[in-house]
Amino acid sequence: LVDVRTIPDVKGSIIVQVSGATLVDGVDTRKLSVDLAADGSLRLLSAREGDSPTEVTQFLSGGRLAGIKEARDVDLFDVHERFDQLVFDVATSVNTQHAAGFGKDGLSGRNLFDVPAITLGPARGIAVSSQVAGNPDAIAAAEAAGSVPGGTGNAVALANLWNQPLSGGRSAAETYGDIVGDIGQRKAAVALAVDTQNAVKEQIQAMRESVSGVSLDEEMVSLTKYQRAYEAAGKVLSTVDELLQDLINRVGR
Amino acid sequence: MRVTEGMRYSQVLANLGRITSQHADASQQASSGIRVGKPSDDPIAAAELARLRASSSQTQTHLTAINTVRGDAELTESTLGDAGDIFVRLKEIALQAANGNLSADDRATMGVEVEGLRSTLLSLANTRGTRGYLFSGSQVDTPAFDTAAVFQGDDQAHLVPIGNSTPTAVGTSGAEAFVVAGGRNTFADVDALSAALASDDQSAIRASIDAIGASHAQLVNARARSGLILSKLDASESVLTSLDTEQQKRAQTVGAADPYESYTRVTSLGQTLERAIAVSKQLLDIGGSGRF
Repeated sequence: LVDVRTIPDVKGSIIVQVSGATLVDGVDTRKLSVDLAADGSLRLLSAREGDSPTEVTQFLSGGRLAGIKEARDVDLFDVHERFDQLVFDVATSVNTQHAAGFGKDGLSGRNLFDVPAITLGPARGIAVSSQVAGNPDAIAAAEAAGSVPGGTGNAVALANLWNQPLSGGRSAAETYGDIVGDIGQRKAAVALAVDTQNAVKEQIQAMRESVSGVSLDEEMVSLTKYQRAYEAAGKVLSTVDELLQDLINRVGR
Repeated sequence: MRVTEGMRYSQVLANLGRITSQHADASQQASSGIRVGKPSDDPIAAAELARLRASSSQTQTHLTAINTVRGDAELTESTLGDAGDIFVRLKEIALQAANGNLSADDRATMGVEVEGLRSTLLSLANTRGTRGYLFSGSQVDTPAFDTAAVFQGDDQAHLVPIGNSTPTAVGTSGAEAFVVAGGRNTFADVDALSAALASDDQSAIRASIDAIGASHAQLVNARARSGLILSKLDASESVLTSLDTEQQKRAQTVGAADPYESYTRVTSLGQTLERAIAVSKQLLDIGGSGRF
């Protein structure tokens, strides 16, 4: 879940560190916890029993938790921010056009959407305006008071907003496509990074294995080699033995 | 580098896992027919698909708008046709009434028929469609003409977006058909004929023949314009339907899996997987009989 480091101390015990914060040092222990900061980002806290916690988020550098934080507070945050901007821009442009038109009741100046400020999550908070909800006569389809009730000029203008550029210079449909592409690009980049890291990990494991592991082929070659060497040594010994035997026999005559 | 048993196992399992995963992906594509199921499958294609869906949705909206207004447009055309027919009959009556052999009673009888036709004309001018009164312009809740045949609507067109160009004006105002500024007041022309018949005024009856003819021509022109609107709706529907087909074809090209390619890929990966399993069995021969 998180990057854990163990350090043996002079007394032979182990100090356990997590994300740069000491978790266990002798009998001294700390608890890790997670909560949300004021800006909504994820925080990692460390605290002794009964003490107030210390934030150690800045030391979080690895493990699943760091991944979750990266995805939540960076990637999803960026996408969410862009989506909020899109919703805010669409709602604002629709509201501006709608307020310029006249409802069947002859009134104008009403928004079609209630949309929170950009910092308050418009994508989550957008709703049909309380002035319009439940009151179809408040939908401003007519372009002028004199065109009520059958005028459709403002409805046409509202419909034409779909391909009008928003604050970023692109239309709503194009911006939405950009966001979808961006999400896919981020996921594909992460998948590629995972593949690369897996390849690096496998290479390191292979290198470690090549030092510490056993190759049956290599062992078999060595076994055969030593078998041959043993057989050769035995042959030498038996030859020497024969020579000595022969020498002794000849000296004895 | 020493190739250990652990490495051999890891490599074999990794390869089998990779091929199995590719085979599963290919099978998924082949069975679903979808190549871009999620944005990460192909980010650029996913972005294009999102834009295509938006465009397709817009095209469907325009098609729906056309189908919604078509009924009223057809009703307008047929109503103006019926009104034109009334003036054909009125002209026949006027021509008959101009005959000096008829008596005042005959002309009075004809005047009764003219009154009836005027009443029918007024009913036609106050025909209701799906949005309200057809010929009232934007004042759809108000009858186009009151009982005295005074126009109560306006000449504002019913604008409908039926494509990416300028919105089309659908419908015909009473001010463009029955009481045209600078043109004929059709009701006044009928009233003039009616009055001439009632008063047995032959010179007035003769004078009204041309007026009735001019009113008829005005209604015929209005009907022709209405027919042109219908033609425009049909043409736009045809273009939008083609556009929708093209958008769907493009979406298929971008996001759908080619069936032949998918089948080939699944088959090929299936064979690869079988061979990989056979080779893996040899490589991982536990007893070692194959190796030593």
